[in-house]
Amino acid sequence: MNAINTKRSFANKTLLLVISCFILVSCNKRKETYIYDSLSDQSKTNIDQKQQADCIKDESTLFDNLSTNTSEAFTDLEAGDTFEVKDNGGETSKVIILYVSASNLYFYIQGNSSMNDINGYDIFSIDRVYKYRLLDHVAHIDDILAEYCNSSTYSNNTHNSSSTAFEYTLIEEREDAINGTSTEIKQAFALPTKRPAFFQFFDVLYSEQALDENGDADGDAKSSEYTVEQIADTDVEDTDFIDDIQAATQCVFVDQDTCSSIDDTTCTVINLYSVPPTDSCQSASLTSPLFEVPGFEL
Amino acid sequence: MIRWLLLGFIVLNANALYAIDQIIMKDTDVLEEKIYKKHWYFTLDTTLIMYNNPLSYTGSKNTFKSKEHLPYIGPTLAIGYAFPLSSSFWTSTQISGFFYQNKEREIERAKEEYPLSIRDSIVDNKMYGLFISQTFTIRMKMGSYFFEPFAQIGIGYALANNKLKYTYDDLVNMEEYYVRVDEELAFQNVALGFNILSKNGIYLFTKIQKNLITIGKYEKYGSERAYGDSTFLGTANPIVPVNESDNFTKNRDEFSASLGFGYIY
Repeated sequence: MNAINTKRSFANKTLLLVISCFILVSCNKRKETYIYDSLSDQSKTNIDQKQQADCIKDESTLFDNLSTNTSEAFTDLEAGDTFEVKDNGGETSKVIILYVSASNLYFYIQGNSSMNDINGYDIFSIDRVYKYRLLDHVAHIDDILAEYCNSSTYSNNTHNSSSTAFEYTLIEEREDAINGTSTEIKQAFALPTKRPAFFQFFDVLYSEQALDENGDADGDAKSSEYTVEQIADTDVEDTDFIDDIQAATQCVFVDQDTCSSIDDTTCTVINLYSVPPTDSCQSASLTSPLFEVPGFEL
Repeated sequence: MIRWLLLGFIVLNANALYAIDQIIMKDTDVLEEKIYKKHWYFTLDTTLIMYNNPLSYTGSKNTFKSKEHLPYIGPTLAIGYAFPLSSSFWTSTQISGFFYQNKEREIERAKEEYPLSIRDSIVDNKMYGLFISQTFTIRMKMGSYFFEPFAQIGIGYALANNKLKYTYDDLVNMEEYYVRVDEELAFQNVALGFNILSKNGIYLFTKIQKNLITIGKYEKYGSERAYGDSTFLGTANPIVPVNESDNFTKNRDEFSASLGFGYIY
């Protein structure tokens, strides 16, 4: 037995020696560094441009599919479909589908000023009725792609696509020039695959994390969240509800020129589909109907 | 590269693993008897040899200088036949193949989330060929092992190729240099070393070797792009060929050292 153990030990040591030699051979010298900060401003600009172009090229198929799939939202929804959006403080608001055609969607968002205002989205501050076209939906998807690939603002973005939702996270580091501190902002959106792209604002997790000088987390993160679920349908012909709609601000997802061509002095522009929306829908009284829902009039 | 080398290692050592398995399972006396008779054997080692890199390049963003006495490292696989001249004096003839390499890569990328290569330089030096050697060994028993000092002489033929693949492109300016040098080498060498041989036929060995290397043919070819605008801007300088060749005889003295193991059948 000792003889066998001696042989095994000798064989093992021999193999270990030779394996070590081969690993030594395999370890070619390789040095890798990152030099973006040391490049000229023109180089940085060109690199950012190329990064965004490459990202859009790489992800375009995925986003094209998303755009195609979610356009089913306009036929998948029906007037009266109702969704409840809840923030992490327990406050709720309702989103009600008013009218659906192949190319147009009108939905009502119930105002609740107690709802958290995530990153200035200003979605739930007052009652609003949105006109949201299929064109807007597709443009919104394009804008999500552009924002997702916007390397000058965001970095280390990630996405995950499943049969039920397209989820993506935007990560941004904001620096306070006065204090010299940094904050990492994360916005994680979930866009159901058969819902209008606007619905991403109803399912979002937003967090702010202070960073120390080494870029590590400093203290606890602050976070806000919206979650959405479909609840029992609403009777959109209910008189009280129509009153709410009439009092609501009307919002249209078009540019200013298109808005003026609508021949509606109350048309308020939400410009446009960016994350967050760059302009909010301010109050405007309704003087003429933006749309007609069979069975009742505004 | 590592995966390929490890795969190569596994393939090369399948025989050795089989042999080791046989040693553990078989009766020791039978194997001891083989050691005293003329026999076939194989060896596998890691060799470090000093050689040069003749490539040099002076660009606007980087400079590469030719290097003397650069360490190439790699495996040598040999098979041979040994027979006794007396009870303690042996000689053997073996043929071996080798592949030695020295590779360095330096990459400067834009940023982690977008690792666009800005400066990338690969210096890849390779040497591969064959040796035929004659070895003279003295066998001395030391406890349960044999100590075998040996002297070896040999000749060989090898090809060396040195590649420099360099590119700089910061999307404003760029330069490129892709050039390779091929050399034909003739070897004459002498070596001194020793084996530590176990009774079951496995042995460790090490040796140092002096090589007289005769360079017989030199060919340099590739392409370069002079410093100027980046292709990103659409106005880059053209790529021009680099060609140079020569037939000459030039001698170099270089040392090498090896550490490995062998098995007697």
